[in-house]
Amino acid sequence: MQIKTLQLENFRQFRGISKLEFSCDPVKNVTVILGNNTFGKTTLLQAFNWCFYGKVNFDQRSELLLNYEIAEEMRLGEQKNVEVEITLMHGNFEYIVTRTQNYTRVNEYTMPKNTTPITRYNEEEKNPSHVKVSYKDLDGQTKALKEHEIKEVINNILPEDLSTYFFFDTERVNSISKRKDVAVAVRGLLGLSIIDNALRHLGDRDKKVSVIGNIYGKMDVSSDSKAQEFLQQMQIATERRQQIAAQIQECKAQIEKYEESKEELSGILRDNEATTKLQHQKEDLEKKIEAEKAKVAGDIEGYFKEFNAGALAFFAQPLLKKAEEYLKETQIEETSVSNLTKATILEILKRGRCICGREFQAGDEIYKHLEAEMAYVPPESVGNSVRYCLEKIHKFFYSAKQTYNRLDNSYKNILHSQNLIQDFEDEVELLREKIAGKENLHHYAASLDNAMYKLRELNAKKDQLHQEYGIQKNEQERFQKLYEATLANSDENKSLMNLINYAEKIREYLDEIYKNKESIIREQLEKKVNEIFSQMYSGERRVEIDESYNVILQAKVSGKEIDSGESEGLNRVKNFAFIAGLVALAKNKILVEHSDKNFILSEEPYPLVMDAPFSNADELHTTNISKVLPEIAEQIIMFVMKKDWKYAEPVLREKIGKQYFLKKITETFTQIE
Amino acid sequence: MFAFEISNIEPERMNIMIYRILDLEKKNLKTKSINREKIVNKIERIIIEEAKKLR
Repeated sequence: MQIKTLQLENFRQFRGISKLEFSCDPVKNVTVILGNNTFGKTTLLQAFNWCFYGKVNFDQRSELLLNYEIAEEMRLGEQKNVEVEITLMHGNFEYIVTRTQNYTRVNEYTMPKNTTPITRYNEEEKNPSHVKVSYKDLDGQTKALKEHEIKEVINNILPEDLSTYFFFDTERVNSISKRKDVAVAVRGLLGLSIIDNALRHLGDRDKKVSVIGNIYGKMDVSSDSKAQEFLQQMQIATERRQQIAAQIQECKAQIEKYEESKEELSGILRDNEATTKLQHQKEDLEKKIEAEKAKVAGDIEGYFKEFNAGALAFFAQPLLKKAEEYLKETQIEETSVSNLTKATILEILKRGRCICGREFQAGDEIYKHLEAEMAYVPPESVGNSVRYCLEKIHKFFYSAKQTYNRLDNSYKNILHSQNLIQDFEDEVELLREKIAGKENLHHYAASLDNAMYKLRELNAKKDQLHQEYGIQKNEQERFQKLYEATLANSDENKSLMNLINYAEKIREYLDEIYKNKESIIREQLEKKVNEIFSQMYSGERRVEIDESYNVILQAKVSGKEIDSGESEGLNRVKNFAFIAGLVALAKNKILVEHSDKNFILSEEPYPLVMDAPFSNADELHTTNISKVLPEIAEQIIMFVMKKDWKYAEPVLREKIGKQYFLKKITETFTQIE
Repeated sequence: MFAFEISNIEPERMNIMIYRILDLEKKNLKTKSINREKIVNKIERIIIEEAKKLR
């Protein structure tokens, strides 16, 4: 494919009709469009995307493609078109792709026809643009493609899945999806769709709109009831097998969905491992704060209880001190026998005999002495009362001291806990600042657990379905053999069966070719991409291409190759090397070898359309890119800032076939010179 | 797995069939000038024509 022209009508800042003719010269294969920032370089790149795929990616006002000045000038009810037309060569055909969008002024806003003012451009069904594709046949006749064929043809010419590579926006290179499956697009580009389509069209005995299914359906079973019975059994097994196959597909789709989700969540959690640690620390501290607060509450309650119980003794101390001093100073003659009570003396008097054994009579001297003694024994004894009082005072003193010590300790504990709480809260605040905005990681971890659980469940289901599928397949094949053996009696059937055998042999052969080619192509592509990558990057990294044709950077660490991740600059070089490798491979012949006549699957040159290829690149990098570019692609179209051009120009001078300048007239009007 | 074996298969004939089928697919990929049903019929005709030449 080579792009001959690009014509714009009222597309964004390109007011009126602007046309660019691109160099298709095999030697001077570079077309340069020079312009400063905001002059419309990215708009030109987007014009390709819009024309081919109906999609644009502008930072501002994506919904309005019509030139803003024209939109403002339109009267109510007036209509204007935005149109982009690309002429290109692909194979031996010349194609013209034209995309148009009609705008009508419906009120103070200018909006696409049949839409409301709030309609956004990207919602294609609400805001349709119309695309037409015509091509010149080998005999020079121009034919228009039917509407439903257009998307497929454009995708065959330049697959949409690879559009971000072919229309390479260097400054938005990160928008290229890392995990997108571009396998179908790459295989298509390298000619494998031809074999793939042939395989689909040959089909199998179950598919009615296929060669094999068609011939199989022509077999006559009406005369043989046994054959009909086998056919019926075979159809039941086939139907069941197809149902199971659909369930397996559904299961696989779900597995893929959960795998993607698992990968994404693991990535988020991996990227935020440090945050997770901080979050755990924060949670631990929060728990400690809660525990400490509970302890303080208990301590305060204990403090008040202690206070209530010991306050009397404590606050009575000065008074009791005075009482103690007074009582100590009081001289009371203490003649009584210690611990002798009035009741004891009364008992002795009643007995009439002293403890020492002497007998006495009421009224004698001993009797009177004992009677007198009663005045000094409790409860009447003042001395004893004083002694008891002092003992009690001392107990009070002891209790007050204990109360003081306990309250003091308790108060210190409360203060200590409150200090701890303050420290913990300060730390939590610090952690909160560090993890601000990333606090929802638990939610991701829970979602990851859920995804893993679902994956286990789905994989088990898939295994079970595969088993059932195998059983039904055996059944189907068994009845098929019986059916075919029964049919062999008819000559017509025999001849049809022969054709089926041929078709199946061809399918088998092509299937094998497809698998071989696919693996060879991926190997060659990886080699080519690494060649180009090493010309532009000096380091230990190498590029690996996986089964979905994703490009992964590998670095050697301790003798092992690991997925090394990438910076924006490296990502740019990597993606550039990928598309350059793909383009370089596509222009070489990709063959199906036959005994005497090889079949050429693909031998197609491809262009590279690049916006700001030297953006942020140093002199060496710019020189490297400038050397590599014209060698790998048949056609280079690049939009370059004037300041970036000074290092590239000396290298590319001999290769420039056409050169244009963008001239900014106003903010919303650019001319091409 | 076939109920009948191909009795007189000629590698050359098979190659011609394959070449013609791929050529048809290649042309159709560029222009989509014929729909699925038609291309299936065309391939079937190629196989019938080439198989006839065997006898």
